[in-house]
Amino acid sequence: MNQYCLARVSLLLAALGLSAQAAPLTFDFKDPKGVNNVQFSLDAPLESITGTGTGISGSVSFDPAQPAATKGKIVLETKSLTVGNPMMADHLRGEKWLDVAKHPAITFEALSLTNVRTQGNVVTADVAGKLTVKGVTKDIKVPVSFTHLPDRLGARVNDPKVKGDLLVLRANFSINRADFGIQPGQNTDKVAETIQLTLSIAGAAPKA
Amino acid sequence: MAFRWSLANSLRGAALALLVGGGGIWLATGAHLGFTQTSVVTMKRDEITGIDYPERRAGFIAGIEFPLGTAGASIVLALLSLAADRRRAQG
Repeated sequence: MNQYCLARVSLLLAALGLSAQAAPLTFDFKDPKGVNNVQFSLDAPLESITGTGTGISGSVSFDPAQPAATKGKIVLETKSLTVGNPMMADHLRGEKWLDVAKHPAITFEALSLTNVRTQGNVVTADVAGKLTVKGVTKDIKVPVSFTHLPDRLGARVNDPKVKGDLLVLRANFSINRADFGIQPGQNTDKVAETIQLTLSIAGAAPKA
Repeated sequence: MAFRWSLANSLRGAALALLVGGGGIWLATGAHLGFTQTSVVTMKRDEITGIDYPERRAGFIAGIEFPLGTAGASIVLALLSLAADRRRAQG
């Protein structure tokens, strides 16, 4: 009888273990190290502008066994966007351009993945979702790579007692500022219409 | 002809110094064709995640307005030196 009970408990534990492994992990992209970043560049005839943004947060639900089911939302604090010239930075954040006082965040909500390919711990996919800039939401598709780093959270926070996984997202894509109502057709000699974006962010999923 | 210090010569000297100084600083900070930058970015790599991230620190890169501005000021000083010459000749 005891042996029978032990076998049942073992089976139950194994099942719980399997279900825990199969469950999607939720990665938090608030980065205390300040490494998560978006870089943007605009190449206009009179001026090439490059800048950075670091105020990134959000969460992504990712299952290494089922990457196609990935969902999530990434938020970029607009006031964190900056360029090397202080006057240009003020203009960038001002009412005519990003209007950070009224629109404090740029968001991207991932809704579905297509063209999913897995190679080792790296998944690449085209992520379809809704990008909201300056209050205007557009459907876009972005090629993203997801690098899953199991049990690397402790190494990242320099504390081996902290257990958890990391998920690194990388994306290169471009948007058109006119699509989001940002000075459409204006100042194109100094501020290009096309904005190249490079996103490199890491999220953490601590384990209890 | 011996060189003589005068207002006109001082203005020409200042114009030349501005022109050379402005152009020199612009060239020395990388002959940047955009506007002046007061912070510079160096890229670093997070060794755990492999993420390349920008580290922004205070720095000065003279923009194209720097040599253009100093050249404009040099022209003004050179014109003033001519006016000073004429005034001295009339006096």
